[in-house]
Amino acid sequence: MKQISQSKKIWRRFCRNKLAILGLVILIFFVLVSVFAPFLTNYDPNRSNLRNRNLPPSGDHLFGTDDMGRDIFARTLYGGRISLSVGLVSVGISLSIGVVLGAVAGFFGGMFDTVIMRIADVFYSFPFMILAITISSIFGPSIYNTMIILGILSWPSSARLLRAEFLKLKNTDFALAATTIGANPSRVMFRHILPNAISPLLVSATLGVASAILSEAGLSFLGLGVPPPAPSWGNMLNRARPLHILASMPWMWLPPGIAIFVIVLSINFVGDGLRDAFDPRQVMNE
Amino acid sequence: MKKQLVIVLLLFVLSLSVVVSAQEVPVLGGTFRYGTTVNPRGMFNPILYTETYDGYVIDVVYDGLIEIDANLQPQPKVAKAWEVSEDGLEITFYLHEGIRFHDGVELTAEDVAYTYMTILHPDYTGVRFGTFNMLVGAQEYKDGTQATVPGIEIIDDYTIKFSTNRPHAPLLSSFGYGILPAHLLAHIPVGELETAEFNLHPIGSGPFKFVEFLTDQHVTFEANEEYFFGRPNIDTLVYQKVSQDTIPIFLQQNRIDFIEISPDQFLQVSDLGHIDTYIYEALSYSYIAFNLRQERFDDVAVRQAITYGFDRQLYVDLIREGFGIVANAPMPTASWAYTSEGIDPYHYDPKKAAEMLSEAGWTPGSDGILQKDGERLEFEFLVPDGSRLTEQMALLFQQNMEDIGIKVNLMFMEFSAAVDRVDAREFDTFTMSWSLAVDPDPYSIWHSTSLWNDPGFYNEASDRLIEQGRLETDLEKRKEIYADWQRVINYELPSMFLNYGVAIGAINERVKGIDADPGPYGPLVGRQLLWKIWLAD
Repeated sequence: MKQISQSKKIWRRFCRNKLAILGLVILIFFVLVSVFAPFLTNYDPNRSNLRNRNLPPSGDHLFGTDDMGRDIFARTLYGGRISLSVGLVSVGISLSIGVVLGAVAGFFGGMFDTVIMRIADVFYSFPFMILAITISSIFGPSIYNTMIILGILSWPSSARLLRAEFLKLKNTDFALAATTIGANPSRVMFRHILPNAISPLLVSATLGVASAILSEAGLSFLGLGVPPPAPSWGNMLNRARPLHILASMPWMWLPPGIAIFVIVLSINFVGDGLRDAFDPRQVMNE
Repeated sequence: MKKQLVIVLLLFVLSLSVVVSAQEVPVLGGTFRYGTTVNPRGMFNPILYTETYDGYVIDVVYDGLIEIDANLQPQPKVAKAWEVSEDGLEITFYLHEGIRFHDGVELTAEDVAYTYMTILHPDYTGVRFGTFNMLVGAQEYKDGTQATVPGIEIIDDYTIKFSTNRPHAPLLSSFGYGILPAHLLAHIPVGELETAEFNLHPIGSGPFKFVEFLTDQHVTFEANEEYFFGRPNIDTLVYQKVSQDTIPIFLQQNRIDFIEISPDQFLQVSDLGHIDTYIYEALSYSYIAFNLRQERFDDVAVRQAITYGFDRQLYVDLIREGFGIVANAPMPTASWAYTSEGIDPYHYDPKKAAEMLSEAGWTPGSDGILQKDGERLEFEFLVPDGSRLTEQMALLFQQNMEDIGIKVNLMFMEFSAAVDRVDAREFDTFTMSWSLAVDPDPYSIWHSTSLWNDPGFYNEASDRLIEQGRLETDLEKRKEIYADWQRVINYELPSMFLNYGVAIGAINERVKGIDADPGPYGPLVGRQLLWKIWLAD
């Protein structure tokens, strides 16, 4: 029998999940489209032209124009850049905090564990959106603040996850072996245990990106996320809020609305696919 | 210009189309809901408040000696009559007997004296001293060198005399301030009045009694059954907080009876059928203020260049959909002192703007932003949120500035937070608007000593003209002085003026007894008619 590496096995299992593949394709599509936005449209997403305001979709403006006469197709593309990067960066922030704190809590236990986990509990006990709104109104809306707020508020879940993994793994033979031959704790933690705890983390990070995109949209919709004129899907929806736009100019809110819906759904498919693929019990069914 | 004509025609057609219904008998009872989009700050004290929205509350809770009618003329209120001495230096007010505050205590000349003495008091924290500093002995009292003000003299319980040491043209129209109940406030040191509990639970002698104020919800009043001039026809008055976006729904569902709508809602609201709309030129203007304490804005060329670089006509024509008139000085078209003679219109000219900036020593840096001596021409623009049109204006401004090499960072902020920043002078630029008093005297906003002079404007000629304007009692000569003053401001541009207000009042057709041919104060004459209107079923 040919030896297959672990990652290849996972990839094969992932490929068998049709929804996950669909999600991945859509996700890659969105990423490409956002990255190459300048090549796909000639319009500057922030450039208003009041003489062309509120135009329905046409050959000139594929998705029409908004109330400032800006091209909605361009804004949707560039908005994707911002929404995706807010999602990725905030998850990056939450992971880096969560990984360190979770690893320390799980590995050392005792006081470290108690203190860190109680702090996590405190973060958990606040309603997320309300806290985000409060912080954002204190520090003022900006892209970076949004990233930082979302990142800082969501670290406890990855910390908890990692702590549980560390509790389980720190008494395994390989970890004990590493400790016994004199590896220092940080080496044991990050070189030996962490790689084995990566799969649940990856799944939760993927799903975290989706929820960060949603939260960014929510904050921006309330005017507390990405400030104008930069487009994000959330603040595009915010601009489409007045009744007459909702009722008679669907081109202003359909593109960002659909984009958010589709991307969050596809990230969730990918996350589910990853979880199933990583799950060793799936092997039984092969 | 065309748009202006359209508006005038519209005004004309509308005033024709609203036929005043035959004398109907007022119906008692019901709740009238007056929509507002901004919260009051909770300073319901007529001599201390500074925000229009606090003024809304004060308007119905208090009565002043006089009130200004729809034609901008002073009319008797608490004072049944007044007498001006021949030399114009003395005014004697004769008060109605039997006017009572909401707690039942009678209003006398004592209360009137308390109200105006407090404004002159050395510890007074408000901004209105300048309105009355010409009263005999006012300055000495303020400075603490004298214990009384000879210029305020109680003749008897119902007669009070004010005398000035120089002619003061706007004097009579300044006596509209709500009269405070001395028996409730006299024991509080004037310096602590600002924080008095009273300011949140006001008691006056006006047509409505204050009931409650809930931020972001409403301010409620009940009819003052004992109102001296007759009980209001409605039982309850509510100032209902509404978000700009939901105004049409609130009107449609009869959840508000009156509100000023923004131009982009005009078509939608006029389609509602049971809502009548009135268009009127208001005594107001909007502006973008520069912080002149900063070196870059201290240069008049920079201010003029920024003004040339902003397409205000486009803003009025497209964003305001023609409802408004581009302003070039702080004197609205609705005022008798307005002039267009010798006023530079600063037509949009980005090329000229760029030239002026380069002449002033600003050169493009590597990022395209203008620089001078290492300082980038980049500033924060404080924009109170809540109004979509203001937001759009801000975006257009940002883009227009970018075109001439100026970087503008938008800072959207809740209205009262923005006011706090402005009061603390922590701003580069901000936008707001002024609703003006009936007298064109610009002292309280533009004199260099005035606390409302937010930009920090000081100009000798301007100060001198403002002072002259107050002294001159001949109307034609006064008009000339203010025309000169407008030309000074038009050149100096301590703020960039955006537009004079053209307001649209939307009112439910069940509301009767309104002014169907509104002047600058709209169909309810500010809030004066609230106690006279009634609701048909």
